[in-house]
Amino acid sequence: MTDKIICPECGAENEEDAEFCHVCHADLKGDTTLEFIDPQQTDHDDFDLLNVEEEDLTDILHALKQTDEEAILEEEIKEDQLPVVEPEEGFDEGKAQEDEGIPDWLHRIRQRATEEDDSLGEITQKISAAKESLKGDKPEAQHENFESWIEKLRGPVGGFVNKEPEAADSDDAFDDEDEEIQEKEPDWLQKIRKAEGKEIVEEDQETLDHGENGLLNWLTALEEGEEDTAEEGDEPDLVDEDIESESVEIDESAATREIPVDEAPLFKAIPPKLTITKEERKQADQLTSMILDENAPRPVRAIKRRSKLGAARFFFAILLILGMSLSLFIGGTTNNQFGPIQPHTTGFLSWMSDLEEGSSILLVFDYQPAYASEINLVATPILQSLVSKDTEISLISSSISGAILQRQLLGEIHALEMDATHDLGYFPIGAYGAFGLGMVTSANWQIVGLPESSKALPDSGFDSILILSDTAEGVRTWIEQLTVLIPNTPINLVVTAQSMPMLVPYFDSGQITGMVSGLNDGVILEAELSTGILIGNRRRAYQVGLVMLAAVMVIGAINAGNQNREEGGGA
Amino acid sequence: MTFSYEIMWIVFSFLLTLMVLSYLLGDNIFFRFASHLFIGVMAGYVVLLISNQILWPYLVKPIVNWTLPGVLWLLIPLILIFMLVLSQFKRFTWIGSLPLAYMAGLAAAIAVGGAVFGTLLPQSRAIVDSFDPAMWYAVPNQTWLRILNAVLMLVGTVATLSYFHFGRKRKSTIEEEMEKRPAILEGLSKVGQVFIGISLGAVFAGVFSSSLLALIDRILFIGQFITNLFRSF
Repeated sequence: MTDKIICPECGAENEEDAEFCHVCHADLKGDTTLEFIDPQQTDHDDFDLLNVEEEDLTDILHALKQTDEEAILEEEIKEDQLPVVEPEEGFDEGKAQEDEGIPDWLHRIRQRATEEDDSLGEITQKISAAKESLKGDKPEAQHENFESWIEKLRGPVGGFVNKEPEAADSDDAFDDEDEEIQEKEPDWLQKIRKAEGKEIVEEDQETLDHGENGLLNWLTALEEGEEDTAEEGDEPDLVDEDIESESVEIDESAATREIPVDEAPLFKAIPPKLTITKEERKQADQLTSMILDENAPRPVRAIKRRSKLGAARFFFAILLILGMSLSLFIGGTTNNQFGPIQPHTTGFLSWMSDLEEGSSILLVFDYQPAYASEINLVATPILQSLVSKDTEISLISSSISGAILQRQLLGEIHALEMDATHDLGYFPIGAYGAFGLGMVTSANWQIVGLPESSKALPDSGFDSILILSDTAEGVRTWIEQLTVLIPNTPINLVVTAQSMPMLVPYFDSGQITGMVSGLNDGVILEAELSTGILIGNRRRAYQVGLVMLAAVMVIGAINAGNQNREEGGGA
Repeated sequence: MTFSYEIMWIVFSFLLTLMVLSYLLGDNIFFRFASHLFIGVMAGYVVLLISNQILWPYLVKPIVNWTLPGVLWLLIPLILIFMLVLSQFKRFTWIGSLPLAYMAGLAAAIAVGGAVFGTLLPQSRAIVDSFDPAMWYAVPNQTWLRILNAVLMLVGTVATLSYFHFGRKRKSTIEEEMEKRPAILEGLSKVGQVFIGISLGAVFAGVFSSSLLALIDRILFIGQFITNLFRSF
């Protein structure tokens, strides 16, 4: 057998004295290395490469893009994995000497390399074929996007399948290893399936496994432009019945450029089939509609001069204050009530008149300073009446400024100077306070270690409870707890006008005895309890203020209507 | 007019009132000064209030007046406090979940118990009782009024609850039908909207009324201050 030189570039056999490869015209006399690979080992390694993890796959693809020199350098670095022989000059001259010292396996490799045509192995052939294609005028961007291609392919695993390579049927290595691969799926494929949550039927599973083996093949074939989309009949159906699938045509000219090859294709691949679920379609539609909506032309709202609006607001405010001031400081006092006495006011007055001298009453302060003037107007005559009856008053505040407000209110009527007044302190959370107070009062527990203020609680409980509050929520907390724990203790309310409507049902259900609120009830209390005139001119100012504010609201509503009509007409 | 502590506060209150009312001219430095002053004073006051009204009488004082039962009672809250403080450190964040869970559980139990036995059941019973004929004839001239009131209460309650019912048809293949409520609930919810609107209108009127009274109080204060000022000279 005559010696042949195997081209390090394409693996083709050349005559011993040939200076250039007759296939690729590569320099055969250059200082290059030539690999002789054991065909069995090659098959095994090749298969391993197909099964390796994603980073190895990326490396292979990366290697495809490298220049010849870089590839050779990398091969040298990996010499511990693949046996590398010395340059071809040494190969010829020192062959006899080497035969003595080299191991058997290397000898067999060399022998086969010189005798058999397919000794180069599949990897070398693939690399050579890929390099052939790279030598074409293909844009570099196509190769640089290999990694992103793989990322895309990993995503919609259910959306595409690789057709089983036809050439792979002839490859013994694939046939031998297919069963093992089916049994042992790679991690990345399992992760994708888990993430997608889609079950793949068994026949499709087999196809996909082949696809996995042929992933590199598919990529290589794609690189070579061997996509064959015409053979749709071979496409395995991976789509679930529940999933609405849509095949999306891929503009191949935009993504890849077809590169002609001389030899028959080794592997065939089909374009990725995009699968879109109903939910994805809905989201896409929403996104599209949102984008369309954002880009839609909108009527430009005329920018009004703010100064005009501010001036009008200032004018009305001054008018309101002036009108109320005049009604406050000019004119006589009136104590006529607005309308009929409400049932809850009647109930409160009944409780006041029935209250015995020396009764123990719990006062709950649950309002903010902003409402002090309103509460004080109504509460002052009530407290004066209580003091006059020598009642024992216990104080609790469940609002932050309750302590200050109770001093202000009770200080005006000198109730704090009474010995029968006990301050039980501040209860930060009304519900806890009400619950604890109700429990202690109802069970008569003598808990050791309680603060001294709790000792001021009357032994037989309270004869009555009066809650002063500015919010319906605060009052409701106390009512809910106390009516359950101490149902026989009458509860009465002094509240603001804004919270009164929400508390009327508690009077209707009989949970509270009476309730007073607002200026009208203050006038009634003044008349009934015969206290000094506190309301006085406030009522007139209140009426003026109500009328003016109502007028402002009507004017504002008319103005807003006109403005909307103008904008609608303009649009 | 002699300068005194009380007069100083009255002048200060007068100035603060004017600063707040200056918001009529728009946002300005005086209004912001008054707002920030109020917030700062409030924060400081809360610290003092908690110290004086909670920490001192409920925590420090029982320890100072050492009694075994008293300290034993304090042991549980002290441990919970310690756990809460410890949870502020990153390594021990998990420790804070126990006292927080205790507080949240307790608050929920109290609130739910109160809402059910203090509001839901009594209010339901009140509606049922309103249909008692004995209640209708309790006041001779108000029979029809009471009947009307009972019917309104019933309709209002059912309609308002229907408005907050967000169920939909269970067995329907048409998507539009699935998103809709049953026709009866849809009609009742429309009626419920009217009742809700009336309720919110009443609350708004109350807010209006309260605000007017607060404004009257301030105007009265300013008027009295100016009157006293002129009288003093």
